[in-house]
Amino acid sequence: MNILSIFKKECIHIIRDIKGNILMILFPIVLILILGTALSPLFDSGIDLGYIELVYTDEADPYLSSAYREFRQELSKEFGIEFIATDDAKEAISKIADGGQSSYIYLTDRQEIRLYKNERYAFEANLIEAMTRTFVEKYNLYKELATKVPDKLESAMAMEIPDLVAVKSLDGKRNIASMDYYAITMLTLILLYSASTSAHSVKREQLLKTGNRLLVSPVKKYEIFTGQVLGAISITVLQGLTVLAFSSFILNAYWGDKPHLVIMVIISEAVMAVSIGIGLSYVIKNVATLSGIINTIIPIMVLLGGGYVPFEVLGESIQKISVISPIRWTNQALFRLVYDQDTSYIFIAIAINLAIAAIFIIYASLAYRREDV
Amino acid sequence: MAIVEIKDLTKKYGSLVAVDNISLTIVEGEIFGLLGPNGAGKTTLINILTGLVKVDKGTIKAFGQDIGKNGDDVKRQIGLVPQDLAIYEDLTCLENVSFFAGLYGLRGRLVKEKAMEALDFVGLSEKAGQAPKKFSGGMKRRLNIACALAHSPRLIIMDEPTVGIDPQSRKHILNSVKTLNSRGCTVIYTTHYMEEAEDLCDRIGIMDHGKIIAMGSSNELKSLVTDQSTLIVNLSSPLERVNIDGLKEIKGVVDIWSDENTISISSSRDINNLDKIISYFSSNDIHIAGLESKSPNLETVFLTLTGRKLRD
Ligand SMILES: Nc1ncnc2c1ncn2[C@@H]1O[C@H](COP(=O)(O)OP(=O)(O)O)[C@@H](O)[C@H]1O
Ligand SMILES: [Mg+2]
Repeated sequence: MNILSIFKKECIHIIRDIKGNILMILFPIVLILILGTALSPLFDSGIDLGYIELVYTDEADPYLSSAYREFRQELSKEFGIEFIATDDAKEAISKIADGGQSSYIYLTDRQEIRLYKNERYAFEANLIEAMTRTFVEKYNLYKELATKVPDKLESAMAMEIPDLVAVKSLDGKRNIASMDYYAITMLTLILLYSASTSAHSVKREQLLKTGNRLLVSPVKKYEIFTGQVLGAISITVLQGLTVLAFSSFILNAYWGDKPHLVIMVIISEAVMAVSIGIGLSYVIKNVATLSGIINTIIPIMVLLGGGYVPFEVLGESIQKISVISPIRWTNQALFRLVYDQDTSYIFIAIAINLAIAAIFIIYASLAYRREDV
Repeated sequence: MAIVEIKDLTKKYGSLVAVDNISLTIVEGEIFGLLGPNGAGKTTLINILTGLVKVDKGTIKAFGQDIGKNGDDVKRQIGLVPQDLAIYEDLTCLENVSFFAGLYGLRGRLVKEKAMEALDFVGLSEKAGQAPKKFSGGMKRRLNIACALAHSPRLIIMDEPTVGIDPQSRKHILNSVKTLNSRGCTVIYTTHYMEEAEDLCDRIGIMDHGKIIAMGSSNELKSLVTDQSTLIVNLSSPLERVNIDGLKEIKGVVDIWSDENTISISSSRDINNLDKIISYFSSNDIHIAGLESKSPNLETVFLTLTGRKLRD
């Protein structure tokens, strides 16, 4: 009963905190909108790719050669890629190496398809690689069909070129538009800021001295603590769900077809963030220092978690240290869930979030129990 | 009946002895004042009493039970008005009082009823729906008091409830304390205003450097330091005409000083010689323009006991 009273009061505090609600609800929605549109070239599956030049050498047998010719024609028509034939494989390769060209495709007389690419043109090179892969798969299928069921040949070659261009389509699954991407990452970003809210809940009672009033009343310390933690978590989850609903229904961001799993991850992240905030508020006495630290840690964790720009853009070394960011696991789990229907990361993310939460909550409850006025 | 019994209580902060071996009994129904300058240890003593601060040594019983054991039973019967405002600025007055009342076990309709009663008692019922964010200091103080009242405690502890407020709010608060007491509440009241202690308290403990250096009713305390009272007589005629030596023969008079046209006559407090003094002047045809009786106040008591003033 006491827990309920404290829970209710805690909720009122957070709900009435206008600045806090702007941060937790309005801010992420605006960010999703801005980043989702401003950074869309990173993601867009639109056709306009600008001018792309692709040098190739064709020494393959007539079958492969003619298939490749058809493929070239299709790509030129669809994406406006300019194919330039060359006989001098050596020169073409060296051009790739010193960065004069993004990619070079060499169809050898042993019927191999070799792709040379320069990572400086990551986007273009990846694109061409993806397309080439598709071609190889298609050609293999074509060969298979040619030997086994020759009458199906026509329809196989007439298959449409799949939508290759978006970053994620390299895995051949659903595309991520930038709005979708930032709906996920901004939501998981903002949930972290509930650490600030919950730290504030603890400091509020200390600063206002209302904590003393609570302690002289016939209420157990664990009741105060539990009420506070549950209040902060509940409102954080509500705020998260508001952003989720808004991004989904108004901004049309894609959240996959298993919303209950998305919500579970969100809850676990809220639990983690709130616990970190409460834990830290017992480690760091000074309020300004506390906010400073929380507001420094969060952007770093988010950056490492791929919250601001896609993982792929960050480079390998950052990707490696990103394992220390709990948010990375959460983001990854959501991406896998939403775009690959892969639920296996969900439980890892939830477990990590709850484990971190447990550490901070246990620390905080012990510190609170010991505390003397 | 003793409602609080404190024995040999000591609390140190490092080398500072905030409460120094205090023993004290509070009797049910009284207003007990703790009077002392800032830093005397009043708040520390209160905090120990309410269980906020752990003691180094000594025992406290409230309502016959050791504080700490059966904690909730004891806590339910106490209302604390902390020295520092302890209210939520984003909750309305009613929400503030109701919240704390709820923690004391009040439920349902009773919560709102009792909370409104408490707000009414401190004169804030019209502001029940407002948050105290923009309240004056005095109004916040009153809300701070209301938060301790709704659960009808038997013992109310007020720690400097009138610090830094306007005279009107102060008067309101002092009157509320008297009303509460007349309804049967025992009150412990700390202050560094000697007028408040004198006006309000049945018994006063004077505190300094963690010790209670004197305890008793206001009159008892005053008689500790002096057994004399002083009568100041203002004269309309010049002083030279007065034969001071004749005054000295009046029973009880101890000492006399004069300057310009006032005479101060110091007499023993247990002898009432006012009529004799007045008739001495009139029989000598001297007109009295004004009379002022000056007894020692608690300030004098504190000054005499410590050599310092209560408020520096
Ligand atoms: N938590 C604390 N830590 C260290 N010293 C304290 C603490 N609380 C009070 N004191 C010291 O104890 C003494 C008594 O303080 P306090 O009880 O607040 O006095 P009062 O209420 O009479 O003004 C003061 O010297 C004060 O500085
Ligand atoms: Mg004090």
